[in-house]
Amino acid sequence: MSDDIDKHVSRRFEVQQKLGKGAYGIVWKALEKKTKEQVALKKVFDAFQNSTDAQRTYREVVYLLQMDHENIIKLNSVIKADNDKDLYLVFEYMETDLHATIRANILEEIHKQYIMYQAFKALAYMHSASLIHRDMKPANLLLNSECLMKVADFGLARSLNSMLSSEDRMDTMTDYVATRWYRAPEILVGSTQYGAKADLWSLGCIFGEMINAKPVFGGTSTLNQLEVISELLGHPSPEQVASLKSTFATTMYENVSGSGSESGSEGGIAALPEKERKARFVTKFPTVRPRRRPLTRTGTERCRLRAAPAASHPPCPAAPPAAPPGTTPAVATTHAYRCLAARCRRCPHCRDRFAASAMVAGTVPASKTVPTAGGPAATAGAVASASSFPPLLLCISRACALTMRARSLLPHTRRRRRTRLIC
Amino acid sequence: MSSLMYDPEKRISPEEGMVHPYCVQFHDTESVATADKHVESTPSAAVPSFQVTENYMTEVNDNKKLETKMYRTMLHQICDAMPKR
Repeated sequence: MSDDIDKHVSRRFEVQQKLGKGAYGIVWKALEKKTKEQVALKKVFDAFQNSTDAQRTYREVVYLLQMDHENIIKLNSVIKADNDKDLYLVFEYMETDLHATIRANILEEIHKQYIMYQAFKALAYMHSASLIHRDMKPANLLLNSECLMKVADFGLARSLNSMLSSEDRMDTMTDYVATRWYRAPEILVGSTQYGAKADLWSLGCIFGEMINAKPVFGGTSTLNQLEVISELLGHPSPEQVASLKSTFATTMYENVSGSGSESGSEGGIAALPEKERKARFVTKFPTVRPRRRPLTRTGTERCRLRAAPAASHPPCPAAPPAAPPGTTPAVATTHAYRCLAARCRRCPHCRDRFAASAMVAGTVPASKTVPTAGGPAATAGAVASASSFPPLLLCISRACALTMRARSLLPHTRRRRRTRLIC
Repeated sequence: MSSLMYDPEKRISPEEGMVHPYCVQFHDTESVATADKHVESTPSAAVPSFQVTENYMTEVNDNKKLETKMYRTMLHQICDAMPKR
């Protein structure tokens, strides 16, 4: 469990700062000497102590090496330790994570939207590769000052392919522990056939946490977790229980105590009517308006149409280095965020987007975010809401300054800010 | 919020999420990437230059936990097979 870095590793990397330490190991911010690239160097202590840990590390390495997406963390390399026990993983460096950002209470509406979009995009990619993450939580969504989000920690991920093809599936999915608060009901009731949609549940919890700045379902045990979920969603109907595809579901839900709805005499607790369910959501998330109409096929098409001309639009004068020809897929999205963040109205493309976003974002005034609990966070929130769409950059470095973390960011921020003022 | 549904089938899909009014302003049909192949749990899938030296290395799957030393051997071989930068 030593903090020391093997010589062959320190020859390649210049360690700059310790970022964190836990039972699993230790993470440093480091500079790769050859490429001058900023990396996060993670030393996994005793990676092969038991088969569970070893499998976790193995999955993380093997799956991450097969991922290639702008919203998924990149594993640059894996290095053996001299003692044959530890293992070094080299990741690209990200400044903070969503957990810290939510706690610092610095997220503006636009940031939340952008983070959600990137999370959907990462999941779309992951699921198209038939990989489910199984441990989506704010601490695993890394962020940088451009509000670029990357999904990390694939130690619990697994491939859907092998799940479907396996004959002995029944006893395979049960023995893992993901963070309870973000666990989907079908996993909580011990389903062995859950799929990619479990990640979407977690994402819903993450969204709610961004909105309310506190976890949506903070259960204290598996059963309590089901109770807390029932408090919001109501007790599941028999069809819903069946949809969880677990032999234990019915029994477990019999033990879940009342959720505020009246108990039937025979059939247990009655399911919540749709109207009541919506009303509870409004009470729980007062800043989010329920959608006025369901997103039907035509609605989706309309949205697609609105988004369609994106590719052909002329480069925006306000965009910091204009999108190069043969532009990478990332540019358009990042560009849209930058323009929105800078309130760029000159570029016709962005103006359209801005109008569209104002329509959507306008339903929730930025200043009406969750009231801060006082103290330094409150100041940050006040500053943030003073200008309408502050770049997360400013906010993050403020949070960093508050937490005494990465103070070196500040000069960088000022430089960035000036570029923004030009546009 | 349509991701908080009991029935997994009824939850929003990532593709629907991207065009949801909440985040559609960032959407760009062209920038949405899909993976060109499914992930696999064998070391050769992760590092093409991986040298298979034992039989179990071609049959790694998520449904069976291997012995600790097998994971160690594979990870160490991955370290050696990683392209040098």
